[in-house]
Amino acid sequence: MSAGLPLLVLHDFGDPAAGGPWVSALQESGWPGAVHGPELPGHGSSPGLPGNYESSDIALSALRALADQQWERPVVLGVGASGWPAQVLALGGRAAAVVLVDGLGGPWADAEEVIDAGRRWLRAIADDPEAHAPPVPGRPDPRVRHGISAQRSRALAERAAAAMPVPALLVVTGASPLPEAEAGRLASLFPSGAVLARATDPSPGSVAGLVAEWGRALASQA
Amino acid sequence: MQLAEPDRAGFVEVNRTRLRVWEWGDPADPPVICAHGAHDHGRMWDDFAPRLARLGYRVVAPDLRGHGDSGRVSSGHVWSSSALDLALLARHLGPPVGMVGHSFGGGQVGYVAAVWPELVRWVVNLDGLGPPAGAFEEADLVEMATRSLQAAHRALSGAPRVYPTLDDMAERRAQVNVRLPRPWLDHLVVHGASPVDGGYRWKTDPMFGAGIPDDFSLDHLRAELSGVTCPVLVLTGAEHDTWSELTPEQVEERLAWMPNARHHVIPGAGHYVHVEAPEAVFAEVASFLREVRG
Repeated sequence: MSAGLPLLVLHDFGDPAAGGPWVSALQESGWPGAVHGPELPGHGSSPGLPGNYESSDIALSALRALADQQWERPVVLGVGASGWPAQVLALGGRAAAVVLVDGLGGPWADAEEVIDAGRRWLRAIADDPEAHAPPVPGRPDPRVRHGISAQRSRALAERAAAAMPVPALLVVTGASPLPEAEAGRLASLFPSGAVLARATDPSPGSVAGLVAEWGRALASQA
Repeated sequence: MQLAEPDRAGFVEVNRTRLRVWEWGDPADPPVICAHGAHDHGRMWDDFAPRLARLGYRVVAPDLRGHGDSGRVSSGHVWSSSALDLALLARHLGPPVGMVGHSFGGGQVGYVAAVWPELVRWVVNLDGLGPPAGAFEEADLVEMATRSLQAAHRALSGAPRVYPTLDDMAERRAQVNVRLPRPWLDHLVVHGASPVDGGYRWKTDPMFGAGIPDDFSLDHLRAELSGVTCPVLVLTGAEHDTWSELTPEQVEERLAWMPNARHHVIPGAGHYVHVEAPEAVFAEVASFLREVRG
């Protein structure tokens, strides 16, 4: 492991550029340590899955990446739908700190809305022969265009925030599924303190500078 | 116990996986899909399926993904993928189909009926009304996350447990399924184990136990079950058993969420209601089918 603060980046689900641009942007912005941004399954050249994409698949990809890098507790950055797996890694003792870029969850939905969305999601996949045909190696997976079931429970987001045992940076952009005031309310629940920052959009170029600045401050306190 | 070998065995390619399917009955008869419970496999229908076939059905019992001889899983969050497998299998067989499910499989066939009502004519649910109420209580999230990541780590990196003999596997199952008769334990083990160096391992994919916490609650279960509009027969055992922890009031509450469900309690049976009381279960199923077939 290289010196400094290692950072694992979990790119957003459906981002065709995957993790590469995040690694470059964070390194160029002066993140104080090694940066690793694996391609999630079905993205880039990473093989597609034999079934639906779930948040647990992102978490398992993260655990594989930690094993590959021989990292026990890096900082974990989760973008969009990867925010929930990043939070679970932090809650479960596998992150020294967490960065969530539009990754707090949402938009909030009640149980009926979640189940209804799940029905429509499954029917759409069933009616898309490309999406349930075997994925073609080396090509982006057409099933990815159907998305992933995101964390949409306000109650679970509140529980996670209140239980979060590590420092957090919460980046809210113009594409956030939550209003800024709601993100601010959740930020106030983090017991170890959460820094709330704003960016125009969730692209690496827009976000990497403020993440790196926060990381340098964190490293200086360690 | 009298078990019949399947009339046919094969594989069906659906939803990016290969399902092992076991079949009984005339292929020209109306199809019925039987879905087993978690950690079981399609040969658990070796008693029930031939009885159903004799009523004039083509009975198809897959090994669900991650189980038996079927394809592997990427994680334990297989609910939606496995349901899609069953829906595409129903399309392959020619809908509408009847569906029978035990435990996890009972939940699965209900979910398929809710998502694709045009594919499912009727459902028989054998003690598969969902987890006990305690499973929905808010546990400590740090503890849940830690446990789930440790389980995932074991699934990713650990070698599967090897049992020296099939008898050892049957003894292990007997500790969990305390009411299952020994001949059934042996049957489920013979078809649920693979030989490896030094003995045997379970065919069930270790990744089936790997997942992370999510927000599934009793409200979500209600929303799922309320979408099941086809005729449903629910059979539960009268005896206390592992995985049969719903109170009668909880059973009634969940039944009420399905607009077209009826329920019978089978005396002298626990969670494996169709295994422990096959005659009584089949009598209820046959009566239900006479009614719903018109």
